[in-house]
Amino acid sequence: MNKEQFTTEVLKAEKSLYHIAKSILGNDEDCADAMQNAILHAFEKLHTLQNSKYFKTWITRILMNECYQLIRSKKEQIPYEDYFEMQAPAEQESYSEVFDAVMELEANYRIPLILFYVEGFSIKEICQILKLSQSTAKTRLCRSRKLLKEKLTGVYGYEK
Amino acid sequence: MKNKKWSSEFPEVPEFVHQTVLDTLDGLDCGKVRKVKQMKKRTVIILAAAMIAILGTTVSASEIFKWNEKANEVFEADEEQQKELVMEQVAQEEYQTITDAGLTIRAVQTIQDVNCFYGLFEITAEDDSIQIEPGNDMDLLMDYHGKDNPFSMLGRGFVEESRQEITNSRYYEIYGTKADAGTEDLDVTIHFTSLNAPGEKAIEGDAVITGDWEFSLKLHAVEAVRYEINKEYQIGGCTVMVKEVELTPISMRLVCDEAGARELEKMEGVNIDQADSLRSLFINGVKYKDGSVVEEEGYQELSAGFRNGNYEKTARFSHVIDVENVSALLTGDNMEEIILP
Repeated sequence: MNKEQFTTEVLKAEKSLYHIAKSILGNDEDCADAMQNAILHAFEKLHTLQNSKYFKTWITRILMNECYQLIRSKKEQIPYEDYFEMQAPAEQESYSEVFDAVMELEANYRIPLILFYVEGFSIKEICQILKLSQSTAKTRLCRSRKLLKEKLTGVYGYEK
Repeated sequence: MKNKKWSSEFPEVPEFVHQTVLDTLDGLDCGKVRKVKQMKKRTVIILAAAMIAILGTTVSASEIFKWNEKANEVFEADEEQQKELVMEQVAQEEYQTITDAGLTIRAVQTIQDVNCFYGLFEITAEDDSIQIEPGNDMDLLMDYHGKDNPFSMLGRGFVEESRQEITNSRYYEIYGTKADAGTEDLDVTIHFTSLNAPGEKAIEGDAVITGDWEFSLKLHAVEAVRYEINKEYQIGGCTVMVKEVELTPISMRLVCDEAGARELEKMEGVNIDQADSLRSLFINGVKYKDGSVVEEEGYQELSAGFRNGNYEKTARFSHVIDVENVSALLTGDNMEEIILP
């Protein structure tokens, strides 16, 4: 895969990468950082991608590692935790109720749900990305559906 | 559930995130691997909040990002560069003051990147009959919390008389050159144990005041922008293959082929193995994309020598540079250009 093909593939996956980063990190500036790092690392490690048809799964895995890395580095910075709330009003966006409800789920349930329903990854791909067994991935998906339904009907008054 | 139009429930990619992606992809060109800097509104807020909490509410935003003047005499950053490097945590104002045995030591500022470290302290004797001169010194120990000493060279001392008049208070500087370029954060404890009188030649002076002043510093190192060049240049009348250049706002690393450096060595009549420098590879200026040139004054070579079959050197710039806009480094007396991709 050359640089042009890499660029095309990244742009095709951009929205999906953003949704995944958003589901882990929450705020857009961290998403931009994580996506940037993921693109740089992916480009540097491009020779390790054996089959270009798995590009999206591969870069998603890299992105998730970058997101967790970012969270770890933020945790080491005391001011971030102390002053995290200060950035919230500046970045307050109005999102759909479904999105808000998804974001309220625990990460263990939220991320498989987004990968499956929003980004269209198969169970097998989710297992590769999240390094889970098929049964665990399915259990989490099932549980996340249930939890989301409860949230939407309970808090947001959805019928279905 | 899977048939639901889920993607419409999820937010679109914000414009600035999309722009970051485009800029990052754009920066992948020509072997140039670089992190594109984005203004971080949140970082500003966090830093401002943290510093206001420390300093009280009277401090203004411009003061928050302003470096100590004495530190800036060394690095010569303009206001915008000072702000940017504070935001990137390359430059940090320290807020630790310890008084013991009538001597107060204040950690003032640290600046570091992958190649070097600078720490500035202010040392004040309560007894104003004690006049601290440049010849005085401090005994100190540095601890790296179980890790190896990252520095190949550490220089330290009170600032010279031309930069500060002699009183009972004087700035003290520590300069470190890293043995290997390191992007990891560095936890270091600097433990001062005495203020010493001026010594005779190489002999340390006697302790004037002894005590314990221990500072814990967490130093953040920013990643360098790396340019893969792999191109032959005519430098100092010799053909030199320039392999790689790394730039940070305050320092650089240059990698050339050994054969080219050996040719220069012969031409200049020096001996690199005996720590001589290659004058032709002194970076005497930086050329920007708009054609402007900033000449180096007081250029400082940090390290130079053969390594892994290459000639490698690191150096600190006399002015903070705008890495994003550098188009070439100018070497030697003839300011020959090493063009960056």
